[in-house]
Amino acid sequence: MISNSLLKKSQSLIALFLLMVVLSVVSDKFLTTGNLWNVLRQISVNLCLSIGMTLVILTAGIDLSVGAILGLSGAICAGLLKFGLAFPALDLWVGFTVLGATLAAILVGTSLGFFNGWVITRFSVPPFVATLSMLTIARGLSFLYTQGQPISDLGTDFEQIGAAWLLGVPVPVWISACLILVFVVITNRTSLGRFIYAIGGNEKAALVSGIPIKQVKWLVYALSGAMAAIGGVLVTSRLNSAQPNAGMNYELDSIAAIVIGGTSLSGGQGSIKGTIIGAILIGVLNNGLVLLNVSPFWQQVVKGLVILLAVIVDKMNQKSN
Amino acid sequence: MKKGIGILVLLVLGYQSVYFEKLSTRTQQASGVQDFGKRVEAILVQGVLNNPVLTEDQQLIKELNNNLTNTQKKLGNRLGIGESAYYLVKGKARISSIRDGYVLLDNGSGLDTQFIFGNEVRDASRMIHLEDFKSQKDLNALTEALNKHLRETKIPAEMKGIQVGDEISYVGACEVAPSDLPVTSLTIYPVEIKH
Repeated sequence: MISNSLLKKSQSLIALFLLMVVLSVVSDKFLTTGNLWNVLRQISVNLCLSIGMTLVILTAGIDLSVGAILGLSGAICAGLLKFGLAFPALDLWVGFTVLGATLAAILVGTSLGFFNGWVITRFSVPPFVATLSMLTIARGLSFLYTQGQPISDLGTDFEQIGAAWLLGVPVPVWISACLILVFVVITNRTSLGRFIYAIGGNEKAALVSGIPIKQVKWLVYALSGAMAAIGGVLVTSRLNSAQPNAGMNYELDSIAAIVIGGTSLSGGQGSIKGTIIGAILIGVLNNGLVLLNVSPFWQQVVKGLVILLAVIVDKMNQKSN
Repeated sequence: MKKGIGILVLLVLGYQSVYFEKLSTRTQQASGVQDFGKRVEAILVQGVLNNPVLTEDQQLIKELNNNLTNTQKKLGNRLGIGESAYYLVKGKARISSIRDGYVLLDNGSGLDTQFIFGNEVRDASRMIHLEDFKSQKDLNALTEALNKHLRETKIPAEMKGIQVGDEISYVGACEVAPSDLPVTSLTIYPVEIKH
């Protein structure tokens, strides 16, 4: 019985291990140091989105707007860095440093996430619908702000965030590692973490227990927005350019990582650790499909099948529990 | 105590995040008016008026009809996009008519003095290289500055007092595509018109 339970808990880790074994056999490039760092660098953006959304899904919600918030935040970060803010009436121009533009982008992401949480709790709108609306709004705002044009040449200082190495490790990997640490602490060691699991497990019981459900949801969606914004800064820095359609469909990879990592879409069950494994699995799968020269159309089919498989396994586990 | 530390952190973050300038000074710098002015002048003087490939328009027509490929190589400038090439021409002719800014010459060619848009002058000058520009936007801005200077300042000033029947000398740029063969006349975007 113990071994069966351990097996269930380690499903995604076993799947990742098997996938890596298969890829290292079929591709001689997969296990090279350069490629593995590249995989980690690539998944750092998805990790940001996924660990933020894990909290949302743990409360039995969903956030479909993370990709669009990523795009808008990245665009605002790039726009402020490059053009600043002009106040013609005051004959004043406000320039932004890398720190300023990054903080402004995170503030925008957090505000949009908070707005999601407020709409969901204030008007009892299903999270799917509320965040789907935000997806469209943020994407539209992104196109409006950039006028549909990329914002490029953001300077070498900003480029360092996505491109530099620190102590032999890419900076985006350091950033995502620090964020993972923070979120692991939040979920495992704080009352907020316990509230999140309680709300996802049984919202009515949580309410009766005196858990401030509204406030927790506001915070959870705001954190998801903030993480999407950090992802936006990373993507923009890596490309040294903000694309108005950046982050398109990123929410799907994020949800896939969370589901594969064993977090239940019904809420209350799952962990940041599982999400990390899920994100790495998706990243390795993407990388492997590219290394094997699989057509981008087939890549989508394969990814879809993997997500479907993960959801079926999740359902079967729930039944057996 | 906590509030104080919070406010201090916010102040430090704010100080490290933004800086201020006068908008008017900034706009002047950002528009790069002076830089464009210098570059426009360089294109017109070095790139067009003193360019050794400047050819008599009737001679160019003859050479284009004789051997397009050689003429493109010898006298034209191609950017590798499309099949057209851009040429610098000069000539002397009498004005047959002027309609909507189009000055028809008695040699069959014409000077479009009103609608100076597009890339003809810029590309024929050979002074512009795509890799010199950080973005397409900068390239477009310089092109428009060049065309605007010709369209709104230089050519209208030089056209003052010129009438049908006058003999003029001119320098300009034109585009010729292989599909234009045989060439009988040229539409020239003028850079200089002298009475």
